[in-house]
Amino acid sequence: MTSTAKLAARLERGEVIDVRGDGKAGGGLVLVMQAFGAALAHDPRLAVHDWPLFSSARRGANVRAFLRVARGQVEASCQVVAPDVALLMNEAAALEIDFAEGTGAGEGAIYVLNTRSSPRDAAARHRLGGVVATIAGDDLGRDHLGRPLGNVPVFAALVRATGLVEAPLAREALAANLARRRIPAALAAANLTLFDDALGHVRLAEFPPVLASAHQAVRFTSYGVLPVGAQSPLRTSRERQTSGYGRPGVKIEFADPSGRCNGCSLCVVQCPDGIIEFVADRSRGAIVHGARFDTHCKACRECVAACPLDLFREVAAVTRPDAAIEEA
Amino acid sequence: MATLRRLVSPYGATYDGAVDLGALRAAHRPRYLERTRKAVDGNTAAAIPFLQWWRSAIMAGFPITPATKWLEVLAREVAAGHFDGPAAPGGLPSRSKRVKLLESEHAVADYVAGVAAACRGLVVGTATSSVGLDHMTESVRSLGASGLGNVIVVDVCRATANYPLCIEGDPSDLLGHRDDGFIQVMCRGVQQIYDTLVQLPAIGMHPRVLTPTMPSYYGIKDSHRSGTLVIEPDDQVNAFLDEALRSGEGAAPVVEDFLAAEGAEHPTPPGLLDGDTALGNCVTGDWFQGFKLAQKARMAATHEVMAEVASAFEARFGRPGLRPLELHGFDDQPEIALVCMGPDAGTAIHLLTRMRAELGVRVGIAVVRLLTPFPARALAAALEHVAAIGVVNNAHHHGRGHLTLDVEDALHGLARTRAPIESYFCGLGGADVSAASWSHMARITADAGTHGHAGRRWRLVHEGIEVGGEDLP
Amino acid sequence: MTRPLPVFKDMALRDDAFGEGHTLCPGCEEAVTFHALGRATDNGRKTVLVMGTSCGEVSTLAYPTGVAWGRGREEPEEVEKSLGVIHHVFESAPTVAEAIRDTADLLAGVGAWTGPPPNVLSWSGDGGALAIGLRSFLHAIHRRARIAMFVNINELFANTGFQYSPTAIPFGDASTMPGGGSAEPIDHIGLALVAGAGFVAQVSPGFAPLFAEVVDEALRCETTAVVFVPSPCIAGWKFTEGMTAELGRLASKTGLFPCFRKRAGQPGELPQLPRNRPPVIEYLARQQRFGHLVALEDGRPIIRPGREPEVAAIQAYADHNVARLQQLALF
Repeated sequence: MTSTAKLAARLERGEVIDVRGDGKAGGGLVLVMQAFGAALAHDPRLAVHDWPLFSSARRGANVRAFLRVARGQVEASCQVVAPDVALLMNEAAALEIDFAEGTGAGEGAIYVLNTRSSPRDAAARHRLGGVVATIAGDDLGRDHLGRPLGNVPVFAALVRATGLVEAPLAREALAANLARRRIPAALAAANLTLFDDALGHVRLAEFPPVLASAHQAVRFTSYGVLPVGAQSPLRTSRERQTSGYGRPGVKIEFADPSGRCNGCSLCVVQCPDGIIEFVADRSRGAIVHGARFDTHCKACRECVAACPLDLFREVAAVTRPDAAIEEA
Repeated sequence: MATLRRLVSPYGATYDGAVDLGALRAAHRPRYLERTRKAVDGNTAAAIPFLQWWRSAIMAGFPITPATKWLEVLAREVAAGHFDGPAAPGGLPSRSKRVKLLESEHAVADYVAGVAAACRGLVVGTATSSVGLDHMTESVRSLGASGLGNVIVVDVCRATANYPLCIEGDPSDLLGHRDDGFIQVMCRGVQQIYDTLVQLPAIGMHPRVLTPTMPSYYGIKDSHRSGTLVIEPDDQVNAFLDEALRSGEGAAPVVEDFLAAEGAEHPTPPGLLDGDTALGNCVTGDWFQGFKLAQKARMAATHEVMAEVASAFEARFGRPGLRPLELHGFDDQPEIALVCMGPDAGTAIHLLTRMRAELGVRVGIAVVRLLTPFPARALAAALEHVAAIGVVNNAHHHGRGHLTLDVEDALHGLARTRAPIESYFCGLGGADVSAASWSHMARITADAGTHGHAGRRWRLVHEGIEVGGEDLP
Repeated sequence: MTRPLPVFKDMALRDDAFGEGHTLCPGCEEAVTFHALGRATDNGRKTVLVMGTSCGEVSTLAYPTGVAWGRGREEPEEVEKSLGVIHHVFESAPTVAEAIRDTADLLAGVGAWTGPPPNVLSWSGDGGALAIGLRSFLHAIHRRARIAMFVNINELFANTGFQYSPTAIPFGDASTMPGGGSAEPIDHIGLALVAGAGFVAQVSPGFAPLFAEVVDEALRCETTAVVFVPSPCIAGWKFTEGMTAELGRLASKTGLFPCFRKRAGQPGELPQLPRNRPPVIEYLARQQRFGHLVALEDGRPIIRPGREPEVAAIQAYADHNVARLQQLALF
């Protein structure tokens, strides 16, 4: 029996199924979890709870969300630490956390990833054992809706990979959801077409189990000695790489081979992350030679808009540093 | 400005020399040069230490009955020009004290937080009451966890809120703010008020404690009652505080020693003016609980530090230091005890001999002074051989009574005695707690001792009559 | 001999007290302002910054690895380069800043602080200064607190999820008022002037040179300086990347949040105001929060059928706002 079939059987037996998703704020994770929860809840025999791990982040920072589904009642409100289904909504989120944390013991989990990678590459990169489903959700979103919105495709992937709700029922639930949110008819129709198309694009494969230790969560032992009143030194954020906060699939570049930068300094003062690199010229201003794109650029395009000489531009890019696997 | 950067892990850095507290100390013009006896009311007694501390440069306030006079006394004293100096370069006034009026109590609390954070060696205080304290709630609950132990909020207890409005004294405001994070101490009589204030910053600012303090006394019954106060000379009051905060041993007293204890286990965090640091960070649920645990530990350190400070006070001034409980009639192992708080305890003490004679029972009075952190162990030790306890609650509570729950925990939880506890409500909203009421409460408690169990869960007593209560099943 | 650089270029070359790694949204205007303040305060004086609860605070002051403030790569050797940052409670920033100024002044008066007077700044969102914080905002000004107050205006309570704010122009969508309402925004400039602020300005960082001059002037004000910073919010208003600075300029040029600059007792001005102001629809059409009123069709803004009265009301507000502020500038 595949992991997918086993999952549905466990639900039938009255067990609680735990789902956990990781993504970037504003990246669609919460929409996906809510859509999945709503689809499951169409079955009156099932109780579904879904909730986010609270975060005040709006765009870019990591977020996590949970979902529990069971026949009858769901009582537990603790965090999902050993998910049966683990979702990676935005690949950049995996730079900071292991989205498969807590899986790998027992029956093997079901993994759903929003990525261009094949299940084999994803399993290799993230060391996954069990069912791996991948879908290039952002690309499909761009094709159908004009924006790299991966939530409907990823919803479709969850439906196919988990087998916990039939596709036609899931489609109905999606349609109802769109109507409730007063989405204009043309856009709603495009979303439904996207769902249908996405179902056909989900790539599934099953892999042998990996060592449980591969995804063992760090056990809490103590809070340690904490500073009084949470007073702290300054500059503690500098190591956090925020380059994964931007829209997937793009990055910003600076090119000035003939040294045309005239020190107007507008990019320097308009960059919200303060990452423009320059030499100070006290007669002209900031003479720019680049920016810390790899570590801290959020691809906001303010530099592109600000530069009167068009020395910055947005280009297509993969969001992962190990692009070699992707190209293989 | 010649300064020296000193890293203070894990808070950032302090720049020694940026703020020369010695200059502030030198600028202080003593208010009292000698020990002085004076007739003053409670609010005045609470104001005087702020005039005496060189560290108390700014006092903030907003008027509220029955605390207003604290602010008026300070305003009058400062306006009289006693603390003014010659004009400084740049045209800034040169004064070592300033009274600041804000538009509301919330603003007052925010303002004292700013002064306290700006310079950790200053003492900054205000006085308020009931709805004024409530209006500050957001700010004082934050201060309670902040580590700003140099903040003092005097609470002049008053029945809080409305329906009906009552501006007379009971500790419902203080008890409603139990978990704000302040060290709460109850005082009765002008000497206790003054002496307590003299000792509190030594506790709150201690690097192991770093918790703001809330001295309190009942409105009207203590705020507006005059008594004779012995005021110590400024140099003694200041030497007491400065020494208590000093960490070095044997060295000549240097005021900032405790702030400069390099490598000390409990460094004083940097201030905003002389530091490179961040206060008021946000955290996720992963961390918050740990901070609360650490805050509890600092609060618990109060017991030990308070004992040290009280001993030092007694040694210097020859009067009782701040102790968590006041015990009367405990020399001969009392058979019953009445646990109470505030000025009405004084009435009970006055009536003690008569009570004992009338009942033919050895009565003891345990007056709670340290309210938060509650001195459960001290109370358990004092009462563990007593046959029955009566707890007098002066504030409304939805159940048996705030104080009763704490006593219950100390006795049955810690001391593990089986002595019954009778719970009384008396004196709410400043109602008179008369001799007749004390007699009644003492008698009922004695009965509980005889029968081995309480007769009712709680009783409300007025003018010696039980006007309400809840029966036991 | 080299001419001195204009203020904003000079500032661009200074040491910034705000750095990378914060969690503000990509393209957040608040972050741009923080960098401006971070650079402007590298002026030989100690800096203390007080923040009210806001996106800016939760995204730049987080334990253990989220404090983006700090000049240089480590604690500076000199106290003048150092920074004290505090976040107390929501609406407390002006009051806490006033307390810090009073403390510094008292210490200076007795010779306990011998350096130059520190830069003391307060930072609030529109909720923290003009809704729940209006009390502290007005009274700090009334008392002539010698602080530089910066008020970030994005017409929403952004940090809590984009709820309606009293600074909102009419009919903008908000989570607690879908489709917005007809009330005109609170007159924050008027309030600051009447309360007696020594310097009142409104400038979006999209006008980089003017913004830098205004920040510099605010830091030198002898009483209360109030700078309103109209701040496009990409997550709350929903516009495309790269439009932040542009929308800030457009909000100003339409007359909705025009640039304003005035010292007490002297005539003021509305700088950067074009003679022919762009119609408000140019501004509205580029934000989804007005998507129920207007849309972009082939790059041109069109009013949705039946929504002409709302758009007209917004235009009327912009028009009389300019007229009114021109009067106030003479006050």
